[in-house]
Amino acid sequence: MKTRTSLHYHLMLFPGILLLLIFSIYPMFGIVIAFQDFSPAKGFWGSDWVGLDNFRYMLEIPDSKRVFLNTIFIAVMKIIASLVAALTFALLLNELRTRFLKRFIQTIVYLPHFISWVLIGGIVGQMLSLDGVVNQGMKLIGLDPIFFLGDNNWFPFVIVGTDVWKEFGFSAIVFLAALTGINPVLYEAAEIDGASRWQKLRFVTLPAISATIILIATLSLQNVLNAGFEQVFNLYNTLVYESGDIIDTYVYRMGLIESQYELATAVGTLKSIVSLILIYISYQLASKFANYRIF
Amino acid sequence: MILSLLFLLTTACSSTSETKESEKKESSTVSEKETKDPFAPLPEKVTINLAKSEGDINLNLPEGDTLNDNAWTRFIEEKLQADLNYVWTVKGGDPYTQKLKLAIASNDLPDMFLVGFDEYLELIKNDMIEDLTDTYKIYASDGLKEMYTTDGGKALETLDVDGKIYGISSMSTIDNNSAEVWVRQDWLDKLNLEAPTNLERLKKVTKAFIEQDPDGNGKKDTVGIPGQSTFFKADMLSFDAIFNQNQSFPGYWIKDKSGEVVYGSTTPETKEALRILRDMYAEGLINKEFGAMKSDQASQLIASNKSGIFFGSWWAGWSPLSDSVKNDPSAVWRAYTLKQSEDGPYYAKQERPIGNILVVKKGFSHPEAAIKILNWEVQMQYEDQSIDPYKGASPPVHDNALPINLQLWRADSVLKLHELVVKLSAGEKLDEATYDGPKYLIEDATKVAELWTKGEDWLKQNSDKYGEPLSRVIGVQPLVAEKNIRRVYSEFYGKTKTMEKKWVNLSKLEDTAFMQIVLGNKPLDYFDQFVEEWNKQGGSQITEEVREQLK
Amino acid sequence: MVYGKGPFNRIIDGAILVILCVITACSLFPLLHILAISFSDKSAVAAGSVILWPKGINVAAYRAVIEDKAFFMAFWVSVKRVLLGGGIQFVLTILMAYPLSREVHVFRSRNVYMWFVVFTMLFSGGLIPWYMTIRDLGLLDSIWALVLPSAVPVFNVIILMNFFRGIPKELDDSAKMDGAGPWRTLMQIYLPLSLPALATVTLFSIVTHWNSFFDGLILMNNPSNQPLQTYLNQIVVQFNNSSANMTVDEIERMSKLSNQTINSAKILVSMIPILVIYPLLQKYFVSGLTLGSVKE
Repeated sequence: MKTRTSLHYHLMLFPGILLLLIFSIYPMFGIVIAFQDFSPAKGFWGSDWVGLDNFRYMLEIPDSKRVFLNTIFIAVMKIIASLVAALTFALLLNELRTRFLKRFIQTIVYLPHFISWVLIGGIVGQMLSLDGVVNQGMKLIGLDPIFFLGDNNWFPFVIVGTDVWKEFGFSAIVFLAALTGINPVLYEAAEIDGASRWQKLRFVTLPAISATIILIATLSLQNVLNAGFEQVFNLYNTLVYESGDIIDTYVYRMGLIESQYELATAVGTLKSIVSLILIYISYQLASKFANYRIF
Repeated sequence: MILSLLFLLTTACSSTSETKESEKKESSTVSEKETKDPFAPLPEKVTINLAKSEGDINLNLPEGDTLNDNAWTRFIEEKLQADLNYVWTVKGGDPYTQKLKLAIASNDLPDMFLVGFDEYLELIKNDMIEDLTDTYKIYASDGLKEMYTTDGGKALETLDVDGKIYGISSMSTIDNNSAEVWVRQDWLDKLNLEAPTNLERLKKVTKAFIEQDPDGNGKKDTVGIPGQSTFFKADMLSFDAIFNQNQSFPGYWIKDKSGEVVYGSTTPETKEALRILRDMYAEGLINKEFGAMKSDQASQLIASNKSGIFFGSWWAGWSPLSDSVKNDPSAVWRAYTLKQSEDGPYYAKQERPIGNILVVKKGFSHPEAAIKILNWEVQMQYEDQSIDPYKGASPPVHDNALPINLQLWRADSVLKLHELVVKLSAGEKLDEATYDGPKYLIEDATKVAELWTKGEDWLKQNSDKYGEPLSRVIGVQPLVAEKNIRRVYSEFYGKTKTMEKKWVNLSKLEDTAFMQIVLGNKPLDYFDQFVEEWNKQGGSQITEEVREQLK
Repeated sequence: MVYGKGPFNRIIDGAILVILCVITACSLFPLLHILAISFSDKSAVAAGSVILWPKGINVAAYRAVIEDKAFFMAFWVSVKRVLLGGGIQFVLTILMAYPLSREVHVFRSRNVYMWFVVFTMLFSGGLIPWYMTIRDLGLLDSIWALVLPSAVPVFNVIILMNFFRGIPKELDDSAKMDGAGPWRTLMQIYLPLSLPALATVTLFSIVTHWNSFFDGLILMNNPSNQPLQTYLNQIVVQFNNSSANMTVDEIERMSKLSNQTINSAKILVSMIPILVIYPLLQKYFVSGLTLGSVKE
């Protein structure tokens, strides 16, 4: 009985797994480039093998260390900032009584999530120029203008800020879901005890959604090496390679434009390996602390 | 009539040269002699796979014709008995590079295609394209060969790798990016200033433009000289003029005083030029924001008339100046050359002498087809326009509809066209029969001259028509007038072994160092540290390799 | 939720409302900005003077878009890819999420499959082998190249799988008692109960297919087969002259490329389908995106 049911499960999975085998697993033969002095004319099997030379070279050049550090810095900042922003927004929205208004605000703040970075990149570039809205506002309150997109001290924060701006609404959905799941009886009880608004937030709402918060934080661990290719690609310039170049943009530039296939594949593979480890850790943490299985 | 005579003459000439060739080669059968005619069809029906970048432009093709199937492609197909097949087509330049890189990496090349110089060298290194040295010698028409003399042989010299030529390139236009100072003449006159032809005056003018409210709106809203972040590796809105007048040529391989080839970014002259820029930046004469600006952002400062002075090429008239004039019809723009002394030399940094390169995939059965297509295109566009099936089409069909749009034209066409326009607008009559320069330019020159004679006031009201005459007359004028012009080319355009691995990093080092010095974040003497670091990180090795290759 | 009363609470309510309105305004800004540009005069835009209100109002940009055949051809390719690709993703997401939502003691190979799927999400052989695989299958230039390689949206599978897990096991057992096999249980019990999650993953599929441009660029050889975002990416791409040898022809192209008004109009028109579809499905987000059952 059991095995026959299993057979059906295998059957259901078959088409998807087959497509993954063809389009994801099979092309992985390309990883061999990382161990070769690749020459397109000789192909994947005809190129000369160089062992771990490419990895050694990768560790030698200052670039690779820098892009790994940049990636981690930007990604971790993003994780923290977006967690705080989304949570704050969800809590604020939760205080709103008018249903219609609530729906309306949600519709609009989700919107940026659906707009591509190409477009947002263009607008952000304008807004943050010295002539732009932001600097004009700063001038009004007597601050010196800042060179946001060309300053290595500011650029990572621009990346984090624009990412929060684009995604906070959409990320808040999980918290909104958790908030609607809170039993109203708890609030009624607090009311009877004469709890203030702040106390209700502090002692009812936050504890009720704490599991979700911890879970989201844990799940974010997987993204420590994903700092957002499309975003950085559309916002950076040579001036801020120093602080803004991340693994994915680096792999793209080296692997296609600069024809350094070997280096690109080596860096990409290293990233994959580390990501796999991170996912494993986050899987274990989530199941241990939140009693939750990611997948 | 004369044209067809000319045509006969060229074919006659070329067949004699072929006979010589075939005599040399002994096996001079009749059929081979025919195929060596630059214009003869291929010996058999051949399918040629091509790739194309379409560009976001209106080709102005007549109804029914398309990019890949139009009168020009049919013309070539018929003349050569070839079947042109486009394996891939993209819209713009960037996607073309991406697809090309992909085609190279996956060893999936079209039969003939256009590449840039880096890809050219990469393809040669990987043994993926045909050696065209003999094919060019044997099959190139006289018209094509004559074309390559207009730049003094620079293009062919650059294409040469170990004595062989693997592709046919377009030529860069002489003085196309020679840096000039463009300035608002009306502001100069208003503030009673001298034209910025040397550094001292340049600084004075810029200072006055910033401080003395030249646009008279009562607000201090004008900025210093705009520039873009790639301020020494770009053409428009770079600071090349400052470098060049100081005999500094960053990014170029040049001969130093002892005759040794050195990298231009590491010379004492460059340090001095950086000092000048650094001081100007500190004084506010250079726009504070330039370090984060792309060229279109910097152009906007000019389009919106926030700045009345910038460094640019002769063609600045199209963009950004036609926008500037549209926004402020009182703007009068003029161009000058920047020199150290009145009668001293004007150093004009020239572009890489070649543009796109046509190459043929290794193993393609008829490499001569590439040359023959070019023969016909040159014939049709410049030698005998009467055979052009789109002759007289209005609006003219865009060149990109050609089977291979190499954009071959004479290297001196900008200067020649300027001379013609000036002559024509002065009322001189020109006859195709008696003019001894390139005749195909007369038609274009007549159009520009017609516009120019309408006067600048009329042109400003029709600012979309102002760009071309402004560029061709005002923009080119200082270059033609300059008596003591020294055109500077790089000694080396290739990629050495060490360059391949280290150049990206070295360039970055250079970009950052120069930027930090100009912005004042690092002291001027940081330059010496940069040179040391540059040499240490592979620069000295590369210099050795470059010298070795030039021997 | 129960709210407090009194003037103090009113003030707080007011403050919250104001903050939320400011946040909302920030989110709306870019859209209004390009809307203003698309209706403005070209040179006013070049001078950078258009922010939220169009200057020199006209509809020339939209007229140009309507006349642009290539734009609508690309639009149509995108519609096709969304319908076909979205459909395939929909079916495969369900077929994969259901077995993967089973407990290990019911379906022993479950974890093997799961880690396999995660592995494919993390590792890749790089762009070039991927391209060569699709080429060798003869898919270049066909709509299948846009839908088959991305046929399994791993992220969506995980969302739906977690939703399935939240469905009470009792329903399963009663279905089994009725003699229903896995297929019938999936169709008749799981799917009808999963409407919010299905709506959410469907929207994700649509948006991803609608917004992706890179595969269209790499895998399509003929521009008439390129989807809309690929087309937009190519025309909106900024003219980069840092390395170029400028020819007269290129200068002309540059002056034409700087046509921000038309590009803005194209971008806006291209956003219409998303703007229409997503508010309709929005009400499902909150219940559809729960992370499955979070046990406390």
